[in-house]
Amino acid sequence: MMTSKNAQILIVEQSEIIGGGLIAMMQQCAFPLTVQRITDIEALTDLPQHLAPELVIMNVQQAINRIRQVRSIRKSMPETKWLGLSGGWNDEELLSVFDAILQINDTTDTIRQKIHEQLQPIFPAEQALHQDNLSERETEVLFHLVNGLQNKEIADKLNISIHTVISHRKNISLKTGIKSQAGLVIYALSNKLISLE
Amino acid sequence: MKRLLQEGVVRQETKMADLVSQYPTLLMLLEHLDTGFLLHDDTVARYAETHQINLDLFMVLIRLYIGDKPSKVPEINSMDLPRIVMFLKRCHQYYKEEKYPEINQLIRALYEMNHSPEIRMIDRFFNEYFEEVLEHLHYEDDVVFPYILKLIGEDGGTSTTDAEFSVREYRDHHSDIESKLSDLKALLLKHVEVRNDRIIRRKLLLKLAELEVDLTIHSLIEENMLIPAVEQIEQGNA
Repeated sequence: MMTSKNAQILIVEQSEIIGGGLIAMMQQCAFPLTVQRITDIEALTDLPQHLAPELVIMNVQQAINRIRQVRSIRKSMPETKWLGLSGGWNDEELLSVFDAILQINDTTDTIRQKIHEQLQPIFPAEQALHQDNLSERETEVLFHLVNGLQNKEIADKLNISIHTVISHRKNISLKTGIKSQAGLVIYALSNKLISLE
Repeated sequence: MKRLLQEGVVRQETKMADLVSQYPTLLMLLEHLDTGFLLHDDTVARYAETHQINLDLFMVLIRLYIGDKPSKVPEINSMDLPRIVMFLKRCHQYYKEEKYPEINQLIRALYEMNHSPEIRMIDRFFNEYFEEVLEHLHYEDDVVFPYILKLIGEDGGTSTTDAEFSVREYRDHHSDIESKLSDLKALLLKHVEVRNDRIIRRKLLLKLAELEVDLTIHSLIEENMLIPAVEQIEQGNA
């Protein structure tokens, strides 16, 4: 049974609507992710290092007047990347606490790209897959394919048509030189897109 | 019977020994035809005559085995069919008894050198693939070929094949089994990390390439010669 080495993502957001929206976007990412939401960064103080998430996405509003606290938490989990979610203009000092900023009106693709950039060092797969020039979307389709999803399920998951999925599959086969699903599983394993448990 | 135009390097007068020297893959053709390797000073025509093979057919087969795709397929009549069926059956034997064990052994040896999960999966991949191949080969040996021989009255009256079978069913059954082989080559050549296994990998890739060439020609013969010839006979009988 194939499972993936999951990256832990923590969303620090009070609003259910915004939090829900972010979680839905994460589920469309190519990386294997586990996503959780908390409402306040207090929960992160004194967190044991081995439980530190790979990525924190936090509403920048929560950092107002708490910059020192945020910096202190960051120091205690030096490997963790932090993305700030910003609703509009915010001052430079506030934004500098974060590794990158997600704007509230960023498109899904932009958000995914920013997340991928932060997670890339953890998943060298991206590098290898870029050698075959697989696009982000193709990588996503490949990921779901090798995890056993059928075309229809992939289409539903990524909110695209089944014809688009088939078209991506054709491109994946052309670029990698591999047509069969079983062969693509081995390819994904070699490129660390998935791992065996 | 209309003679094909003599084209390129293969002519009736070409010496068999010269041809085989230059294109060693022709040895596989001779083995599958079961005509023996001692070529003496025979020309292509003389060799075909000695071994009672339709010359046009023989020349097309030679061209296939030297990597040349002939533009015209000779008309195969029912007299050639038993020869072709025997040829294909001998190919099957070669795949089952020689190629499969050879490649299987090399994959095992590869795993000895490179204990990665990818190689273990490649072992499984190849075995699952070959099971598909075997199923197809058995289908041909047990259903298709007896049907064809019965159709032309060459079965000696012993065949018990279902008379409802038609060659169109076979055409549908004839799946693309070469693509998995090509996947295997791509994985070994492009993607799976090399760990102390370069030499075995090279040997394995060469063997896979040999198998692929033979399987491709095998499929071409079945699809472009065998099936059309049988369809014609079926239509003639209808």
